[in-house]
Amino acid sequence: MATPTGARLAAAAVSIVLHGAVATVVLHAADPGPPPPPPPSIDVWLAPAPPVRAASVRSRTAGVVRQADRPAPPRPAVRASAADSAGPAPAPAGQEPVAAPPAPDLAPSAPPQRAQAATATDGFDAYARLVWAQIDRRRPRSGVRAGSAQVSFRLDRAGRLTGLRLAASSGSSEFDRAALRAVRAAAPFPRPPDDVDDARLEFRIAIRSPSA
Amino acid sequence: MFPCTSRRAALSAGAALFVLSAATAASAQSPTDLPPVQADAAPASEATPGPGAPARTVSGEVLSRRKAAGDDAVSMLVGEPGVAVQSGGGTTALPSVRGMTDDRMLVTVDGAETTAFCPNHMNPPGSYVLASAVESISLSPTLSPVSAGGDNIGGVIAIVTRGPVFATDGESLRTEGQASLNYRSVSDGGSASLRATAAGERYSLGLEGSWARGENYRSGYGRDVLSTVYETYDLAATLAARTAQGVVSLRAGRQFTPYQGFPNQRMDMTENASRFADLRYDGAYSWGDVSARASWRDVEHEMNFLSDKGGDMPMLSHGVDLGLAVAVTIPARGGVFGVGLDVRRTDLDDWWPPVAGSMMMGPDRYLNINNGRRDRTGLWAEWAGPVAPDWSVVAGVRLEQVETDAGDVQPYNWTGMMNAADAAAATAFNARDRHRTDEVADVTLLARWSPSEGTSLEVGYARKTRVPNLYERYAWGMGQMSMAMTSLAGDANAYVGDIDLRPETANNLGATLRLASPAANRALTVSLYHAEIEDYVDADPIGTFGPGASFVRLRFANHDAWMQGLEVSGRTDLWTIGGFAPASASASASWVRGENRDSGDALYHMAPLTARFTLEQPLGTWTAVAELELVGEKDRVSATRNEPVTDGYALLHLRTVWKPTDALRVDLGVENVFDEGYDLPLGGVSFGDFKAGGMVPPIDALPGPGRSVNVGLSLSF
Repeated sequence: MATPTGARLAAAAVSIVLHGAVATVVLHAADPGPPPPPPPSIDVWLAPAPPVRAASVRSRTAGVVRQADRPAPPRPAVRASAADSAGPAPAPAGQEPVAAPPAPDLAPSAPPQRAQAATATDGFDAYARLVWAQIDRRRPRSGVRAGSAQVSFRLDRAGRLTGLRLAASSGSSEFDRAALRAVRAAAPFPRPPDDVDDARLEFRIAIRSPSA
Repeated sequence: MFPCTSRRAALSAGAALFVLSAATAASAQSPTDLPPVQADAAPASEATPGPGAPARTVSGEVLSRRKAAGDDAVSMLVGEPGVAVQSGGGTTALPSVRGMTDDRMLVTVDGAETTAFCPNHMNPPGSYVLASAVESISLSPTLSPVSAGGDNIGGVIAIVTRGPVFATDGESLRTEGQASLNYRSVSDGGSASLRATAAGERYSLGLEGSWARGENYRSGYGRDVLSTVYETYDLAATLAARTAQGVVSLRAGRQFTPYQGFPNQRMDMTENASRFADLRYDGAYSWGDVSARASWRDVEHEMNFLSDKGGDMPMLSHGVDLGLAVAVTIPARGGVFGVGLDVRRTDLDDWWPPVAGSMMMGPDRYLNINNGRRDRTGLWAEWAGPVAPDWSVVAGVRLEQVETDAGDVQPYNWTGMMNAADAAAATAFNARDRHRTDEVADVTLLARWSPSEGTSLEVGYARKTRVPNLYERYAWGMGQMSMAMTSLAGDANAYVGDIDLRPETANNLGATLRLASPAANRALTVSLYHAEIEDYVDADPIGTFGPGASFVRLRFANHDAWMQGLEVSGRTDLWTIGGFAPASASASASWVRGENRDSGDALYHMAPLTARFTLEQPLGTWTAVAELELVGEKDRVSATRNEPVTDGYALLHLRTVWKPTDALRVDLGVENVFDEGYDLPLGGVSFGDFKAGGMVPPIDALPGPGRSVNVGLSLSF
């Protein structure tokens, strides 16, 4: 009907179409150009590069992570022997290096790998890094602002999770649960070095909720 | 490979050093300490949810803003594409998602399901929590996984209140709380709420109370809309204990509504008193997750007339819901496998006491639903996980058995002339076997293709079944007045049930494309859906009544039907002013259509084309928001039910938020800035105004609220 209402509706329809067109253009324009040249060399230790995450794509914004919460940056960098073959991906020029790729959703049950270890201590260090990296790749995504959930867990000689418990609450039961699940989702882990004491296969990790 | 920030790289590298030293230093007896892991912040609203996760979740800032504008919990989803509400009272709107209204949506509060124990559905599940107590509300439309719940064909709305908190390591006692106040000029009303928690590392006690009230709201036409007053109180306490694996909690409380007007019903709520208790356990073990719950709710409901409508005709309901649910999920084949069992028992008595001095309403009590029973047992299994590079699926099956029954009934009077139709109907009803058992199967299959970060395409099929509610099957009165008392759709028409009504089964198809720029500063989501519904519970006309034959007598009846629609939403960052966060624009549009395949008539309560455009400008501690709401004319209406046509309209809302500290929040807003007069497309008829005006036809559609200045204050401590 040719009333102000009809006109308004028509205007609305036009607006929607225009908006959609703008959104399409904008999104298209946002496509990154050709890959930039390799970055200045910064070594980052890594677990063997897993396949790209297929599902639950995470959004990562720099603002999520507070610099102050971080351990000191690597100088000199440490390179895990296991990472040598895979190596870190090149980062965009003048920007940040690329860190561990996201978790292998497709291969959480990948066959356990032997940590490449020469001695008990070196081997266990490398192994602990692998365990940490595997959990980090499954870190929770949460809207909860709380503290750190302290999670204890135990692995068997095959790298399987045999014990999981919350040692201290983050304050939020919801985030605590997300933290426990994150560690479980990271399992199974690679097979630990043969010469490591059982006691050292009991781990403890703090999982911090997103910063305010 | 996904790009990451330098901070993550720094963390990784720094962590390496940390591990090295920690591991080296570790003695043989102590556990190995790993460096901390930092969780990611929750995604923006347009980000890609995990497989099977709700398509939309409203929480945080957006939720806080919506709380300033209303007290109804389910209405906190309005603004999301595909979502509308069928008007009820001030805190009792019924959801309408993708055309699926009322019981077609499953609404849970903290996981618990509740029945609407009222022949007008005045106390739907969402009415048992006020907006001020909502922590998040999420929506899984039409393609919800079977694990999210059964007994619906339109999907699941999950309302969550604040979960238990505990003291962190080193904190001996943790205390926290929040107080909020809201005022809205359009109804000279508002709400107040207070929440406080005291917790140690192992135990937690939380208390919360909310109160909301409003006078009749004023429409943009410049007059009060009668029968829109309301007042309600909520009280709840949560006692929780933390174990190494999870949390056991007992939440119990009381809701009391002394009065609530219903502008589109013949009756008003003159009391609703409800008590509930909810015992649950959620645990995470090395082998999987366990969740178990037992819930109980008792509802005493009374309808009569508030002063705008006048008269006396008490109608009482007493209902009890008892639910048990257990679910176990374990990692399996690279994904997660879950099984669960749901048992729910529902008892309902509906009776209308005799009215002293009335020839018609006496001398006996009218038994509307006598010993009504609806027992559900559901068993489900579901697997979710990746199946190929870039592909993940969710596949689940749910089997349900639903038994319904109702006892013998009686009219006000077995012999009086005025009750002859009811007496004959009661005799016929009592002569029949009314026990029905339905065995139904739901299936959900979702597949998602995510070729790159920010891009995903999800397609899915869900077969979903809903067994008719007790009113649809067992409302039996055939007298004009008694029939008019059963009316679920806000159309003031009169309904009678059908014992032989079959379950309605929807075959839902849907596809959703999500695109987001790598920096997540722009996003676009498009959803298309189609539903073929077998035995949709519609209604067949069997006569008319009322002045000018304005109203229809209807019998609930199964018909095949379809619904389809389109939803588009997106957001983009705009400019940046003086170091503040960037301004952003967002837009959404929804379109839905539905038709009865047998009659060709439009289905009732199909929302017209709706669009929203929002501009947001952060300025440090201030944020300014302008929203334009455009609603098209609703001219495809249900002829069967005399559904009113409503004109299109445009509303401008202006809101500002001031957050000088983390603890203090002040909302100031003007809704419907130009005081536009308009009718609500899903408001039904304005029966309160119609009755006060001497019942002169035609009856109008229900007008929406005019300009309102809203002030909100929230203080956390």
